Amino acid sequence: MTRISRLLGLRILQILPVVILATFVVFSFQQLLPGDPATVLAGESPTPERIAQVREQFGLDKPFFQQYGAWLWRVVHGDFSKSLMNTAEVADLIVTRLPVTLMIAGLAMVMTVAIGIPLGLMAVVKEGSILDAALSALGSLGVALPTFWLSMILVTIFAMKLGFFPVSGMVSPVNQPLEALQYAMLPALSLAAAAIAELTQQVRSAMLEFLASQHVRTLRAKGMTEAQILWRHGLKNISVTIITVMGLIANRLLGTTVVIESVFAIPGLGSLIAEAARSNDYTVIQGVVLVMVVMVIVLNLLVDIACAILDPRVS
Amino acid sequence: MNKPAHLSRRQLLAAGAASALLPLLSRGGFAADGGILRCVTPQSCSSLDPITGKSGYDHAFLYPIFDTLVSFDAETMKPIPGLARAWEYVDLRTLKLTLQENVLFHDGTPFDAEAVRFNLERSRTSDRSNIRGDFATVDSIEVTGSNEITLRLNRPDASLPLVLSDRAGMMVSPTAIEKLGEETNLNPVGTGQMRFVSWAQSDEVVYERNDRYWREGLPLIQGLRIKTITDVATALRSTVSGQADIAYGLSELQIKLIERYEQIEARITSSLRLVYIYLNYARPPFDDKRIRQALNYAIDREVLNQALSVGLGEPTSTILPKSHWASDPEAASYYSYNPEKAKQLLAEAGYPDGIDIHCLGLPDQSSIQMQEIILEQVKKAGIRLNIERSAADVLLGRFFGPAKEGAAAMISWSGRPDPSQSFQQLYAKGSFYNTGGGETPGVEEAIETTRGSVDLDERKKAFAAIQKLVVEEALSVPLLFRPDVSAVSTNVKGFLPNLLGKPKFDGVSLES
Repeated sequence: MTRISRLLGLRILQILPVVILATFVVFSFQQLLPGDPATVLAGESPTPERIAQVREQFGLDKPFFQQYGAWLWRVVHGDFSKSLMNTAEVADLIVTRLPVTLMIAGLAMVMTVAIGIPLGLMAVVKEGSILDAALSALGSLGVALPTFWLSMILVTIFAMKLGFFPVSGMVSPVNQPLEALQYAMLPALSLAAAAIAELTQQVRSAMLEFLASQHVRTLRAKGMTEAQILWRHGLKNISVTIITVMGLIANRLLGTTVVIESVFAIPGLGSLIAEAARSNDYTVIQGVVLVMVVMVIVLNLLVDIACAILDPRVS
Repeated sequence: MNKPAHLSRRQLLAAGAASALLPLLSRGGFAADGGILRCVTPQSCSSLDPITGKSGYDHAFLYPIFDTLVSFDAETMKPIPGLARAWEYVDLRTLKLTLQENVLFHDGTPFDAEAVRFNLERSRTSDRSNIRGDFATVDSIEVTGSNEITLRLNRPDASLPLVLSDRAGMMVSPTAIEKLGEETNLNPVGTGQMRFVSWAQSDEVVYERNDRYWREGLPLIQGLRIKTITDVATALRSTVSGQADIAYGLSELQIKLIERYEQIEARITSSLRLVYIYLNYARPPFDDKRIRQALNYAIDREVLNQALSVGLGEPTSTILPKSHWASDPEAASYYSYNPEKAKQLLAEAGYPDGIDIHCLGLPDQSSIQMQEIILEQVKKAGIRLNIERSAADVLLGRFFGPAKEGAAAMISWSGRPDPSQSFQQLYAKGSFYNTGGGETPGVEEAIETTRGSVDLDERKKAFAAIQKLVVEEALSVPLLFRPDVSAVSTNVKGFLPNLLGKPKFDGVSLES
C-alpha cells in the first residue's frame, strides 16, 4: 500500500506545476497570435476612442505577465473570471458543459471496452480465420476513418433515414439523463469507432503474445482447457496493457470532443473552447484548458494506480 | 468450468437488451412541440444587452425581446413606426418622437418618455456602450411630454430614425437596468413579443410568450428557441429531421439540397450582405486611385456570382442593392470586368510589369474558394495577390486594429439600417472601417448632404451623388450581394426575412 500511496502523492504534487505550465503555454500562444480582442469587444461600429477604452476596461493594455498573473491570482482564489465576450461566469459555463462532455466521452469509453475487448478475444480464438482477417481490416479502416466523416454517415443512416436518434444537439445529462443518453449515442459511437479498432488490435496482439509464451505451454501441459487459459490467465496477464491503452484512448476521446461536439452541435467543453478560440476569449480558453488538464492528470493517475494494483512490479 | 460460455451468454443477453431498448428510447421526447418556434443558425449571440453587443448576428436574438423605437420595411429598408408611432423633424436640428401608449415592459414597468430618455442617455454616455458613435450628432435628449421625446442635434441628421431601428432604438426596462446593472446582459427585459427565459452561451436562447404584448393579436406563438449550430450542414439536417422549424444563415450551395425534401422549403431573399474588399488607401499602393480602379476592373463579378451564390446573388460596384430605397443603378454597374483596362491603369501608375499586393482573408472553405477565383482573375491583369488567412475576429484586429497589416482585406460588409451610417463608417475620415483613416476630398461633405434633408427623395439624390463619388474614387471593391438562405418547415407561416439580413420572427405562426 505504501507503494501506491507514494505514487498518489507524487502525482498530486505534479498537478500544480503541470496546470501552471499548460495554462501559461496556452496563454502565451494567444498573446503571440496576431489579432486584438479589443477591436471585437468594441462592437460592430467601433470608434478608435471606444477601442482604447475597452482595452483599458478589460486590462488588455497591461503587460503579458501582469495579465497572466492577474488571471492566475483570481483562479487561486476560486474565481475563474468572466467571459470577455458575454460576461458569463466561466465557472458556470464549465459546470453546465462538463457533464455533457463527460457523458459523451464516458459513453464512448463504455462502448470501446464493451465492443473492443470481446472483438479482440474473438480474433484470438479464431486466429487466421476469415473473421480474424475481416476484423483486422475493419480495424485499419476504423483507425483511418476521419471522425467527422463517420459521424455524418452515422447521422444520415440512424438519425435521418431510420429516425432512431436525434440529428444534433443535447439535453442536460443532469436533468434528463435518459434523453441525454439518446442524444449522446451517435456522437459517442463516432468517437468510439477508432478507439474500438485500436483496442481490438491491442487486445489481439497482447493475447497472442501471451498465448505464445512458455508459461502457457506449462498451463497446457497441466491439462487446462484453452478457454480456462484465455479467461483465467490470459485476461489477467494482459490487463496492464489493456488499462494503459484505455488510458491513452480516454485522453484522446476528450480531445476529439472538440470536433465531434461541433459536428453534432453539442454544448460541451469542446465546442466551448473552439468558439472561445475563434473570438480570442482568453478567460474561457484558460478555464477550459485548466479543467481539461486536471482531467487528463487524474485519468493518468487512475491508470497508474490500477496498473500498480494489478502488477506488483510497477512502482 | 464453462466460464467462457457463461460470459458470452451474458454478453449476448446484454447486447440483446440494449438493442431492444434502442427503439424504445428513440422517438419519444422530440416530436414537434405545438406552439414553440424552433430556429437554428450557424451564428451565436455575443450579448443580450443591446448596447454591449459585438456582432451583427445578435439582432435576431434581440428583436424578440426588444421592440425598437422605429422599425423598417423588410424589402426596402424604409423607416416605419415602432415603439414611436410617429416622428417629425420640427426643424433639421430637432427630432420629435411620439410614443405608443399603454405599453409595458416585461417586468411591469410602464414604457414612457422617461424610459426612452433613460435608454438613449445610457446608449449615448455609458462606459459600457459600444454604440455611443450612433449619437455623435445628438446634443441633448429631452422629455417634452408624457409620450413625447425630443432630440436636439448639433447638425442636421436625417439618419436618426433608422439609427433608432437598430441597437440604439432597442428599449430596455429602466427598472431592470437600475437593479441588475451589468447583469442585464444575462437577464434582458424589454417590451417585445417574447420574454426572456434562459441563455446557454453559444448554445441556445429560450423565450416565452409575452401575454401583455401591446400589438393587437400578437404574438402567434407560445414560445421561441434560437439555437446555434455552427456547422451549416448540421443546421440544415435538424430541419429535415423535424428538430427545428427554421434554419437561417445557410449557404447558397445548400439550396439544391433543401429542394430535395418535401417537409422543408428554401427561402431565398436578397440582403445587404456584401462580399467586399477593404482597401487601406492611406498608403501605397492603394493611395493611388488608378491602382484601386485597376483592382475593381480586374474582377469578374458575374463569375463570382455563379461560383459563390449559384447565380442568385447581385453583382455590384456599390454598397446598396437594387431593391434598397437609396440605391443608384449607375453606381451599381460602374465597373465591369476589363483586365486590359486594369493593366493599362497599372502601367499608368508605374507598374507595367504588374504589382504584388498583400491581402488578408478568412480561412473558411467558402472564403478560400472565393479567394482562389479572385486570385486567378486578377492575375490576368497583372495583379499578384499574396493572401494571408486568419479567423474573422483576428483579422479585424490585424487589418483595422493598431497593427494595420496588409494593403487589402477580403471580408464582407453587413450593411447598416441607414445608408448614411454605412458611408460614414466605411469612408469617413478616421472611422474604423476606413483603416488608413485618410480623408478623401468631397466625401465628408457628401455624407453630410445625405443627412441634410428629411425628405427620402432628396436623400436618394444625395446618396446617388456619394455613391458615384465613392465608386469613381474606387475607395473599396464591392463585389456581390449574397442572398440570405433559410430552410423553412412547411408548417411555418408568415416568416419574412428582411433586406438587412437579420431576421425577425414577428408574425410567424405554426400550423399543426
